[in-house]
Amino acid sequence: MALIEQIPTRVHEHLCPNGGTDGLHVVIYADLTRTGRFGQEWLVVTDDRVRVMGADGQGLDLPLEQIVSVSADSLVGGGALSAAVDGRMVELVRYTNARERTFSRTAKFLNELVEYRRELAKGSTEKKPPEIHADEEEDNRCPRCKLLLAEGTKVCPACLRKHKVIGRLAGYFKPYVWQLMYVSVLMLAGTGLNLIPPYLPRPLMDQVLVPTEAAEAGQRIRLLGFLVLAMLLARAGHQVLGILQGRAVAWLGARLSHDLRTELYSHLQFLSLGYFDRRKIGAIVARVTQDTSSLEHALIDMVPYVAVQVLTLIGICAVLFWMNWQLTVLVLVPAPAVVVLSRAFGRRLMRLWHRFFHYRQRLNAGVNDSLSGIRVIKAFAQERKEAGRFSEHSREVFEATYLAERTWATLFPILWFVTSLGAIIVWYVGGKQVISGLVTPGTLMAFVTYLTMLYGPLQFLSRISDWLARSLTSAQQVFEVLDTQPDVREAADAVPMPRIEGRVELRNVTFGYDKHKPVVKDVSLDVAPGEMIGLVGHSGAGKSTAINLICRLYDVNEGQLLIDGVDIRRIHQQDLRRRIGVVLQDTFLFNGTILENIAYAKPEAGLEEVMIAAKAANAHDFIVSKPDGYDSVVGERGQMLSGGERQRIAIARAILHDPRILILDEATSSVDADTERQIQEAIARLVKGRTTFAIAHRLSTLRNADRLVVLKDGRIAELGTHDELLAKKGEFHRLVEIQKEMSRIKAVER
Amino acid sequence: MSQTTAAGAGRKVERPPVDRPMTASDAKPDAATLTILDPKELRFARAGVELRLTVGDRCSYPAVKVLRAFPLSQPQRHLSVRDTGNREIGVIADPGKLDEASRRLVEEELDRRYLVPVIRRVIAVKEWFGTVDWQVETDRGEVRFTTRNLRENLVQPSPGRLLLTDVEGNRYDVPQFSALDSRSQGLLMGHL
Repeated sequence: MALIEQIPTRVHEHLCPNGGTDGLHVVIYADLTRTGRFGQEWLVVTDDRVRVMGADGQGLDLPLEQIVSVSADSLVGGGALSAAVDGRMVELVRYTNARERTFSRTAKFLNELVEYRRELAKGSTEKKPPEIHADEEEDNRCPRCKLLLAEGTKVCPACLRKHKVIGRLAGYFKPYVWQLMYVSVLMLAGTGLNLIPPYLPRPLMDQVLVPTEAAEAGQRIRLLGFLVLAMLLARAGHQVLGILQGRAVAWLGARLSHDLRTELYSHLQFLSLGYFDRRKIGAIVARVTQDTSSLEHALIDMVPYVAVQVLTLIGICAVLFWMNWQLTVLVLVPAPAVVVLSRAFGRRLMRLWHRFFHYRQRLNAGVNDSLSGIRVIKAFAQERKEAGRFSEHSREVFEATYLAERTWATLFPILWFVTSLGAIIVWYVGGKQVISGLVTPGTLMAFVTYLTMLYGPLQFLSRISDWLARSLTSAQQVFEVLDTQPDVREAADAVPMPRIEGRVELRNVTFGYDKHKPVVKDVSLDVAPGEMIGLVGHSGAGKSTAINLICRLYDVNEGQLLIDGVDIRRIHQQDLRRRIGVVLQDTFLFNGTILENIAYAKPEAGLEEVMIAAKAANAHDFIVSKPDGYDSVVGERGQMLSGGERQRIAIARAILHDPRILILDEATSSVDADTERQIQEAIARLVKGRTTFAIAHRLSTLRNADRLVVLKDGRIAELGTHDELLAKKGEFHRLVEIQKEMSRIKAVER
Repeated sequence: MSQTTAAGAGRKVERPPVDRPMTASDAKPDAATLTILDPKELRFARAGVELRLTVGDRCSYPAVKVLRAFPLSQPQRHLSVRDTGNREIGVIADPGKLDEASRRLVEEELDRRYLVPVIRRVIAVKEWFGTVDWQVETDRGEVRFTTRNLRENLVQPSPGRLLLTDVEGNRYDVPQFSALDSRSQGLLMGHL
């Protein structure tokens, strides 16, 4: 296998004059030249050489024997691949972030290749030649536009087809076909009725008010009465239908939006943590609330409005042509201008309003920020500066508002004028026709009335594409979340594991939240059932990350993690989670009673069971002493409880959960000696007989652990029992000394 | 190497006993003191891709890194010079005071490390469905890139200045919006 990218013919001819890709391991392009400008250079690895070719044919040619090692240095906004040759570093190629992943993989491969050839030269044939494969992540680009897609989704927002989104949206209407039909019928009838009143001036004028032929007064009055009644009925009927339609549409739109929102939220719940890490929670909340509600707005307000406008437009045009087609053609002369102008004006205005919204949002955020930090502001006497900053933001809003309103005030009258041109033309041309007796005065009246109704829909229709784009973007953003598959997926051949012994093995595990920046590097560890492992190291050494992997909140990038000899990715997630318990440093208690919190993972637990667990966690006594006992409501984030109490509730929760594998992220919060002892007791009971991984800060916990793993920069630096490691006087010894020092300082402070 | 948090800066207690050569200006380095290097004492030299630093006539570092302390607001001042173990040798307050050859090498090194192209001209912009395709001319040549979700990926670090982040995480700088030609301004404005 090899990693070969689309090679330009020029480079290819140079490499293999006979064609084909035999003997090539890697052919990849860098998107920067070595002088740091944008351009392509090619890196080629063959069996025995590394070559770099620039666009000008210039480059490097290094025999592999000369290379000691290769490193991919990550720089700001990109990186560089360098090789150590003859005791100096030689830069091979430079690249931007877009190519970083490919080059860090290649660096790894090159090092393996160099190592392999060195072994080979020594005569050893045990090792297999290293391999490099095409990047599977490359598949996550849109096949059409090569855009990098969000992980786990195949939907390319750029290549998305409007009709597909509409089609998918229409799918949500399926359960409500009858309601939809009902609404359509109401709309048709309503539009029809609305077309009647403007027609009535024609007979009113020609037969009642200024009759063209002689008619008797009584008959004229009867006709007048009839016409006025028709007017009344048509208007009333139109309004009644409007009411019915509005009510039906309100239900339908809200209902659809509810369906979509519910589906979206329940889908979100099952997405892996990785999804939430990569996004701001605010952006996700926006998807759930804003995007669905803007869809709701589109469905309730816009769709029916558009439908009515289109129907009205068609209806009016039909009636006008029927009455007098020559005049109609004249009327439509300004129509294209109206469409083009309103489109241009509309875009311009929308942009300006967006700007206004943006600045206003910033102003609001600023106020929120500085008022919640008012203590700090006062403490540092920065009131004046804050006020100045507000005034600056406010001025931005003022300018944006002024610009938008000013543009609106200018453009709208112009548009209005162009629109009214049609009516003016009709008065002149129609008037002449009336004088010459071609048209009755009534027809002219009706014509002008219809005309005023015509330009409304026309103006609106010119903005329809913008409106459509906006609603479809919302829809698409919702669909995108729905189409996101969890990174941590249930394997197709997942095996149920109702019983777990608790053996945990890590084999060369490498993982980074950002795939090319590993946090845990090549870690191997074998943990026997019931063993307690203490994880020690600086913050950032990879302790929490290791634990996240054991819980399978994330999947390893390389290597394997086995539980009872089964790859963790092949175990049913439900079974796994049921057997793993966590007591986290940041004890999160939900809003609810203490009872609900302890029984969170096992809601079916009996009250006695809960009390037994609480007792074992040394929590029972303080709970019962509370006026509401187990029914005490824990405030937001457990504010009503002290830190020590919260921890013990979390321990009780874990005891009740009864996991085979336990994760303990010990809190550093200082509690009084008695509470400390109680917590230690509770932890000791909890840990008994379970495979435990403890991120330990307290020396006492470390002493209880069977073995300690000292992590440094994502690798295991030391491994052994507490006493062994102390005797070794290495990294662990140093950490302990530091801690002793710290506690001495604290003792003095007290 | 990637910049993990300045490991040496905050937690001095954990630092192992001094195992590096002394610099001329700090005979006994105090963990809490910022070492300001005297530019006149510094000599930079190139060895392959690496930069060698000699301080005074006493000590020499084989491969130093030069980092900007304020990459956005003060890119040409306050450079942190670090050794292979990412320990800070000291800060150069004004690299303009280095000797000519050293200054050029430092600039080269900064140009290599900080790949933030400066947009000189916007050639074409195409937007569909919240994804914007840019074709721009930068100080490093012409380039095309794609941005998504501009509300988050276009920031204004100071008035008039814009920073764009594309889908790959590359950044593009517009130091002064009003300094662009009016066509570029218009194209940019249309998507702000």
